[in-house]
Amino acid sequence: MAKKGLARWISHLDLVRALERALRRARIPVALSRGHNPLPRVSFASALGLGATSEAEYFDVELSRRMPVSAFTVALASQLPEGLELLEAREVPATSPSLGARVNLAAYRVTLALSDSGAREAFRAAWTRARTAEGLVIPRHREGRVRFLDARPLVHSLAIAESPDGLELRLDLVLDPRGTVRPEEFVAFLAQEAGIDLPPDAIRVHRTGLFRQEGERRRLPWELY
Amino acid sequence: MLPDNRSEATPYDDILPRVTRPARYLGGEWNAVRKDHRSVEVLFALAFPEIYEVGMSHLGSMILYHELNLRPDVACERVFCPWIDMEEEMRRRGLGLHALESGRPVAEFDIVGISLQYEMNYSNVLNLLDLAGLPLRADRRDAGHPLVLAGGPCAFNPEPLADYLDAVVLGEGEEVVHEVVDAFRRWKRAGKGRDALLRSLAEIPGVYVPSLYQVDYHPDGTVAEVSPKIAGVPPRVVRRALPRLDDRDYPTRPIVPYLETVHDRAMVEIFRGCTRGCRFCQAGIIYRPVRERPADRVQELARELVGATGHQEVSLASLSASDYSAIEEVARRLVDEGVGLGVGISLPSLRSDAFSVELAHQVQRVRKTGLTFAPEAGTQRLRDVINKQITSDDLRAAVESAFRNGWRTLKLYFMIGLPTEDYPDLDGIAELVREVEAAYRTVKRGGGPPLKLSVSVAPFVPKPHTPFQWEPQLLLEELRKRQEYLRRRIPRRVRLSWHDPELSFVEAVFARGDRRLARALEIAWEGGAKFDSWSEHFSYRRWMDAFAAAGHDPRWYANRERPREEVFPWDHLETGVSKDYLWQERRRAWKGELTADCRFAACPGCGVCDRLGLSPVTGHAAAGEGS
Ligand code: SF4
Repeated sequence: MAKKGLARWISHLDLVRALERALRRARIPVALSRGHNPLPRVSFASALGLGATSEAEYFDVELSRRMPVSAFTVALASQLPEGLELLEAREVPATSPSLGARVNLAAYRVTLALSDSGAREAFRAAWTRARTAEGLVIPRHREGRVRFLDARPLVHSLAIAESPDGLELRLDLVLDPRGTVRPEEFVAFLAQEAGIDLPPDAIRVHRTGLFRQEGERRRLPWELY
Repeated sequence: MLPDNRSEATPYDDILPRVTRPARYLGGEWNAVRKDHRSVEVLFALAFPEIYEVGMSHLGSMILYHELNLRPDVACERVFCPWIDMEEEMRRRGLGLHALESGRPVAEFDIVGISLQYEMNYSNVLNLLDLAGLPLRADRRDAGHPLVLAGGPCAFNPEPLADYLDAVVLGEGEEVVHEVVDAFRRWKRAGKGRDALLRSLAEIPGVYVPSLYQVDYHPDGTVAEVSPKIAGVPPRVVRRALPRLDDRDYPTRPIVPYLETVHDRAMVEIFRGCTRGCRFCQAGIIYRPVRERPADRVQELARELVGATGHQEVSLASLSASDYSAIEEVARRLVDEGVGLGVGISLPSLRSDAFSVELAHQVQRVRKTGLTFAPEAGTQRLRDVINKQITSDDLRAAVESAFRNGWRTLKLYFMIGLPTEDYPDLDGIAELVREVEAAYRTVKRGGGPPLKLSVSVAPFVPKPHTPFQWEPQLLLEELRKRQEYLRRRIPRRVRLSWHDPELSFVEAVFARGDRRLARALEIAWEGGAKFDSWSEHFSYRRWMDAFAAAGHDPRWYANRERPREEVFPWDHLETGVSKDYLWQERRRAWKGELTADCRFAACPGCGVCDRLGLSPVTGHAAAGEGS
């Protein structure tokens, strides 16, 4: 599913609810969880940060009754609100492990509005320093306490290119069940290291893919069977 | 014109990364209606003076949105108050308020219709007009500005806002809103001045144009007379009401918000009005008589709503769901239909009796959320005074049934400072709480998980058009004293929550206020008053300073017992219930005499059916006798 335009301001929780409602409107027979409070069995691979767009929002929907993929696609696509677009659906065995457990890499395109060439150089230099000697230790503030996250093992790769009004980053981040670094968090950290002022609206994050990376091999979530 | 790139951008794009919950300001939700402005004649902004999550839970607004957008000649769009952080960013950048659907500035709309649900939203009304870039005062607006309309329960005494509103609609809006739009269209085509518009609006039954009325005062400050300034303007304005709910189309495709709203569910209005006759309750007067929607229609609507929204919960909305004549059958049918689809039914506003608990048990087969009872008063004597027809036996049976059926989360609502209340009545509240706890121990035989009991206490606020409209509110010091008295008598394990007495005091001032309060309101707003219904934003000091600066004694409005013959600032605005009936009810209250519900007994003669040419529409045996 793609998340475009204004839908980027829909939080992950709200997105999940919107999808559940779209599935209900589409009369798709979604399996319900057992227990006192039966919930539709829908699960996302990885939550996208508020403000980011994406062309790679993968989710599993468990059905109580088998239906043709084409029927599913047609029914759901017509019920998705503006900005959410169903790109493709595929059938996977109900026994397969959860999506979250299958993917381990998220690819982003991050654009930074940086008109000043000095600032662009400083940003590049900050990355060169961070990836080498000085490390990449990001402070996290929560409830008045600071914790430090060593983000180096979580940044798989970063390529920086010039764009008409700033920089364009190709950023691949590791999704580790023990912790991940958010793209905007990583970029804000580098900007701070570089001593540049990057207001929140100068960063645009777009997710381009979710993968399972094993050695050199990179597969899409549904190529894993 | 409709901006083509609406789905990609809002007027606030630069701000959204900096504010909490940006989804409040997006529009474009499922079922939102977006029209090409070139194809319509009238742009109507439906404004709710609260934040999105509150406003989007309001069924009445959704009904009007639907009514208006059914018309090909109207585009109706939504406007809410931006939250504090958003307002700061908007003001810093000089950005005005825009409508959600098109992103067009509110100032460019033809009509701004404001929903008045609560007196403590009045500061937000001013803030909303100001953020929209409109002159606050009606007499400073001209033909180039939108017409500012208001409706809702507070419209029955809109006097404190009289200087700011162009016209006020009394009662149910479904029909009259069309008449207003039609009059507006004719005026727009004729190209006349603002006065001509106001005059033509004043001719529509149910529409009140405050600027066309003169208010004269006695030397003691009370109202001597409210009279039309010019011929052709009716001396009294009578409320509008639908004879039958199904006369109008129902919004079966309501907007589905992304954000979790206060009532995040599909709503079917099962009936309107309530004639239980609680003497403090304004809703029990201004929506009379009871008009039920046929059971089959309720079921059809629920089905359509789920199909069009995908909500997983349907709520049967009314002032008292247990009083719907076919409630058991409708609830059972809907529950059966919803099981398997994962769609649940909720019944807000249940009576405090065993019947209602059984009903809640039926519908909450899967999810068991907490139960809420509103005994309102702690002793039978006081419950008789307010005509809350619930006995201690009813309550005991309700509570026991709840515990036997597996509930252990219970909330009780009470008021303090009701007319004739004395300290033994407060003891009664504490006694009732102890009885509930004891009942839990008995049912669970001392075992089981702990009971989660919460008690919510609000000071009584006398409201216009009720039998208690002559009553003083208790002085603030006395309210605080009683609050403290009660606090000491409620065990600590009970979660006790209080409605701010200071806030209730200001609410009481405006509820029965007059036009002269406009000044105080404006001063408070200039001093930063907004979101006053949120106690963390309410500043008692600011309001007291504003009253002082405007030269008003707030106690004169809130704490004064009004004599029988006093002319009220709202007397020329009729709900249909006669003032004599209200006075008679007040006298019965003092004697502790009960008045029966006209659905189950003979009509006690409130007068509404005669005055409005209506009769109750219910499946109950005694109904339909009229007055
Ligand atoms: S006039 Fe009589 S029947 Fe009609 S609402 Fe009033 S009390 Fe009920």
